[in-house]
Amino acid sequence: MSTVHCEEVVRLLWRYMDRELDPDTYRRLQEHVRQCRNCGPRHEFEARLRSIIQEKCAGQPAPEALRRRVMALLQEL
Amino acid sequence: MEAAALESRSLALNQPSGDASAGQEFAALVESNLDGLYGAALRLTRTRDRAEDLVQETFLKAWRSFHSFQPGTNARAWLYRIMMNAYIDSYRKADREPEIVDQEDVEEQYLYSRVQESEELRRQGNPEEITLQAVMDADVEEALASLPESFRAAVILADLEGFAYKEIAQILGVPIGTVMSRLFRGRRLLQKALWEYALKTRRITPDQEGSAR
Repeated sequence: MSTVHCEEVVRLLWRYMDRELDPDTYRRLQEHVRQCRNCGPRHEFEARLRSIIQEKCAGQPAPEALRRRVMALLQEL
Repeated sequence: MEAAALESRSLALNQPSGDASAGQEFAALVESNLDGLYGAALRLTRTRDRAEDLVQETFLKAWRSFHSFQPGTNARAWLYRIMMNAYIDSYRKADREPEIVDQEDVEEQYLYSRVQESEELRRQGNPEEITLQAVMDADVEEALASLPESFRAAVILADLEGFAYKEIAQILGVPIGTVMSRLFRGRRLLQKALWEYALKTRRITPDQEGSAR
């Protein structure tokens, strides 16, 4: 198992967080991120930032009028 | 898109099989995807009226091609694809943005890099916390809305709707490499906008080289 360099984490962190890496690379990064004093905080910051963005841009339910409009269309099926 | 014109049109005439079970299946699809599609439409179009029209148009188009939909395949991705196509066809024309080619070479994790290099933040202690607090207070929706459309779409689909790269590639009809480049660029631009917001609200003041040393 080859070692991971911090530059690799910087480059692959988003793909890592998106779970879009092959299983081997994912495990190697996971190992490194858990132990590295540079990459651990970087990952934590990025993860918290993402959840704040998700929270603040959380979808709102469709307006009742739209629901009625679409349902009216469906009733003609 | 005229809502009245849509409403007066009978769906039954447009659906080849017209059988009741297809109608029920489709109604279930509407029920489980209406809120999600509306949320994404709102982020895309940035106005409620246009989001509502886009969603209605999406379901209309989806119904017309429902006979060719393969049961068991990803219905949600299928609907988003129809919506993205409808959006590109009808709405982009009305709201043409210059295609922004951002040649600026911004590194990954833009915000974290700014945080790390800010002397000012380090002096205040706990730079990460201060910055995340500033983001909490920021108008994140506005920052997202400020992104060029193709980058915004990628960020919405990945980070808000939770689609995998492969699904986004299908939804947008582009290769996975393009999805990644749009998504990463979109994230960097979003982080840049959030950093600028944090600076503007003076929660974080820019380093003053002279006085800081």
